[in-house]
Amino acid sequence: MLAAYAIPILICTAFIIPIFKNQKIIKTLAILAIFISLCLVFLSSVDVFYSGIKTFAVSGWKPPFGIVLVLDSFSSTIASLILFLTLMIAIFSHKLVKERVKEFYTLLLLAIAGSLGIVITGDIFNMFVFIEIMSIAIYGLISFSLKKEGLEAAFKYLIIGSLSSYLMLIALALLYSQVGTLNIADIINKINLNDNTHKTILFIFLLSFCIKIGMFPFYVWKPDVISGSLEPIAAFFVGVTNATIIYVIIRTLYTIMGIYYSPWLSILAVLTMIIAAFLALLQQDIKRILAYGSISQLGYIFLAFSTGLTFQGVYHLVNNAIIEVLLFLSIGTMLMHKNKIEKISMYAFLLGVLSLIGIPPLSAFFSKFFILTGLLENGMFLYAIVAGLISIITLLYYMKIYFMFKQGEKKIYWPIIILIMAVLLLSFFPVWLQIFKSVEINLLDRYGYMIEVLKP
Amino acid sequence: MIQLIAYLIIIVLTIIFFLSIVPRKTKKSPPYTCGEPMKFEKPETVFYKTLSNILGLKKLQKLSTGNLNDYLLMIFICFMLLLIILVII
Amino acid sequence: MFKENIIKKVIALSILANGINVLIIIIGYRSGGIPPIATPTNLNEFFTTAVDPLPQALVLTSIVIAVSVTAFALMLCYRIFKKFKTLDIKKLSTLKG
Repeated sequence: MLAAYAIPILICTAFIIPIFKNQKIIKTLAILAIFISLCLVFLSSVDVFYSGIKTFAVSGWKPPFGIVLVLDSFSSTIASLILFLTLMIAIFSHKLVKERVKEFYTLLLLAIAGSLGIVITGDIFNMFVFIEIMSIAIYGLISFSLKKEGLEAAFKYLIIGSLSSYLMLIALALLYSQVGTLNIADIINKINLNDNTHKTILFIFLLSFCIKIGMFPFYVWKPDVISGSLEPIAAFFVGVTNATIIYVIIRTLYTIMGIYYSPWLSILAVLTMIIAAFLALLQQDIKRILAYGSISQLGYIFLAFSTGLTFQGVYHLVNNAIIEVLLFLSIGTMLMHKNKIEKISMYAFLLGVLSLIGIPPLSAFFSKFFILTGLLENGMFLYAIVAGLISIITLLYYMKIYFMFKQGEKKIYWPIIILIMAVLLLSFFPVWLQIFKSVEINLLDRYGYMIEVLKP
Repeated sequence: MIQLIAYLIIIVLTIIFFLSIVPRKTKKSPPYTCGEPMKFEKPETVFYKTLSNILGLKKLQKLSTGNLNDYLLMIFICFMLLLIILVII
Repeated sequence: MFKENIIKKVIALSILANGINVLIIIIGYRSGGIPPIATPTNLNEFFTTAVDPLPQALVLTSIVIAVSVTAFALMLCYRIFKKFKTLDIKKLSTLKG
């Protein structure tokens, strides 16, 4: 499997970079490493789409005794998505980062290596190790600017993020004592949801990730952390880290536990959506408005996943990640020059905002439309009405940002243009419908996952 | 069909809101009351203030002070409550 | 964990990590067990009464991760002290709302 070589490439480049002193060599090396990993993962994902789940046993130890890297279509979608977004962020920060370039690119490469490891691995302790790698790199990146807000945001995220990781480790230890194995496919074999102990342990596992991602009662730290970090790092945090932790929650919920309709998660998701949207109306700071907006979209994604609308959830996840990165990068250019704003960034920001609100024919309109029609078909009228109303409130708070800026001169930033093209590309929904339907079929099939991974 | 009608209503409402928030041009000479010129707030700030007063959001905003200890307390209490509720049901 | 001094918070985090490591080791215990070291002579005893070696491998990794998190947290505390001139968590709330 080709994608297994992507993680060592990223980590080795991260450790080779501090040797060089020339800034241009460092930047080109980093961007080249991310590009090569993107090509490898993309080729592997195309392979997976045509021919089922691929596994790779590390050092030849067969599962369930060794660590196995698993690529099924959901993993490969998210892996290619996060590598693409990191490539855009790395090219964007090419111009932004003038000093301490070595540290920035080392931390960025470690963060993306950690995220890729989370998505690819099939063993939960390995997942813990990669979560910690990604978290430590992100703690370093958030405090990169060494100003007051950055340090404070990094300290808050450190305490709360470490707390949630250790909660996950507690759940992991208790799970090992009950089940006896650490391989995800083998856990599917041995777990029994009627048993109260197993249920409690898996709920602790899930809730620890809900703390890490900012669901309803645990969202209080997130706007502080996002508004205190530099814009490309905020884009990385909202685009990539969100996507990987959503992946972990969905893997636990769908594959390990086998719960496809969970009422408590849908209630939490709706509350997240409503409260984040209302709190965004009061804010005066641009990055805090964007942060609350991203928490609100997270509510949409979990509403879709917890009421059985799987492919709508995946479509909205992909859309949301790309659009949030676009919004944060364009805010980055707009805040760099305060009096003269580039026209491209303004149009990019407007495009992203209009798409998230739900104006056809942009991409997030289709994902929201599918979510709404799916909810109405399943008979959950209250959720559909709430989702529709929150779209209107989304419009209100994004328009608030629009009033704070004026027009200016013209300058071109390549990553923003590529992201605009990606957003427009995602609006041709029949193509993505086919792809995400096949992702859904693969996700809902937990016994297929188990059989494929544990083949002798 | 219901879904199309519902979504059409939502789109129409968004467009109406969009058009109503566009700021209008201000007059050149300010009006006088009690001998001093009156200050007008921009229509959009008035809109957001009335909306937030109606929904009672100031109380909700007080939940997120800057203090890390309050955050940790809220996260811990909600975690325990959610865990107990989830296991009982 | 709810103390005001940020150094005390980092100490609390470190104690939490060590506690979890001890929990993991305890889970692998078998009553009347011997340490899991296999020499060619005691293979029979090894298979029947040895303590489970997998949690011990997990704990090795976990100790390393805890050390690096604590090191990073202390470095962050040092930088915060240089900028804010205080170690109080209440002064550390410039981002609110």
